Amino acid sequence: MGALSPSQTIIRYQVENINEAVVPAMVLAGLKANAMPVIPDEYKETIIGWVPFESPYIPDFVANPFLYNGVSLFSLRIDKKTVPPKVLQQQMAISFEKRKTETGREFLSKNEKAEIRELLYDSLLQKTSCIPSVFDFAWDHDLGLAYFYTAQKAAIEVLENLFYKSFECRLVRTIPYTQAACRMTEADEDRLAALTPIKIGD
Amino acid sequence: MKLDIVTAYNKYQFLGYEFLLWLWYASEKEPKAINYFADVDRSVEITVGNSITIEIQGTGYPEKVIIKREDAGFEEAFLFIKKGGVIAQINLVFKIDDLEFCFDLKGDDFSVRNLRCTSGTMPPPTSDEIEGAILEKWFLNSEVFGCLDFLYDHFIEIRLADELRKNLVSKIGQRVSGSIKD
Repeated sequence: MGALSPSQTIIRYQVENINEAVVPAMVLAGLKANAMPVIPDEYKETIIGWVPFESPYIPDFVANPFLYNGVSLFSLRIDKKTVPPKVLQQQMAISFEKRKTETGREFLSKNEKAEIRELLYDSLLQKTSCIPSVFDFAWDHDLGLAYFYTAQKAAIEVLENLFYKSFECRLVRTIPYTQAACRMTEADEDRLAALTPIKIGD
Repeated sequence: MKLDIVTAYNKYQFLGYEFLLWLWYASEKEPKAINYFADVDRSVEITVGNSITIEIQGTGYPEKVIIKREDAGFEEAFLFIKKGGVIAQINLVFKIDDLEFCFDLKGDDFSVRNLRCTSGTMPPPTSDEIEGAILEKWFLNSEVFGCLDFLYDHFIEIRLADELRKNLVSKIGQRVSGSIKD
């Protein structure tokens, strides 16, 4: 589900600028500073970063545009590695037997097993390939509006944190209360806050 | 905004649910009241599409019931609303001039799902056409959200004026009660 998909899922945000007006140069600097690394850390389970919309697997913001007539469009990529539990279990069983044979013992201690497990996990993690997930994000600087093209909770949390880190702007989710409050005076917001649910038939 | 986002979400979800109920009622009974383009020369039609999701709050986890339009025109939905259920999600069809959009709108967080422009499909753009495709998609999305924002602003106006409680609640209640078969 992306920005050009025939079927879209969209959540909306208002973008609050904390420090200064947003200009394309500032956006580019934030994107480059927090782009997906070209050579990822092999020992990390999750790697996150910005990637160009037109080239999500080659994170080069110099060669690929992100600005389209006043709207910034780029993507959040989350690469995840998972060591299959059954594979780890299999390798652990083999390693335990090997260690017992080498040391001539019938049992291994809990600490020894934990140490073997950790070494095996790191080794398998290094060999495992990342599974990338790409989520598009569009940002109208003039109107201070943004769309995120997914409703996955984990991706939303990653987005909100990385966005603030990259651009020092806060994303305020468009939900019933914020959608109403954003256009109100303080007095009207007090009246809004005082509302309670109504029952049909009251 | 005075509230933190978590409190705003948890405590005021009911605004979204009531908005969906009002939208359903207004689209059937008072379409002129929700005419987005009443003052300009454009046509708009807002109808409920093919499904409504009702959430019934009770002890433990809320129960969700999805009602399709084939089920006697949503009559079953009225039964659940009468029992205190809320409309958690609704499928909507917006016709704006020659454009037709279909999507699901969730009441608690206003997320839009399965948004499609059903009035014509575009082939996937080539690399030269990407910018044009992006701007066109942005325009289409803006049409839908502009309309939704107008409708919600209108709903909040009614809600704050207590007009909903005084006038519409009884009308909606009659509509709900009138649809319950003996």
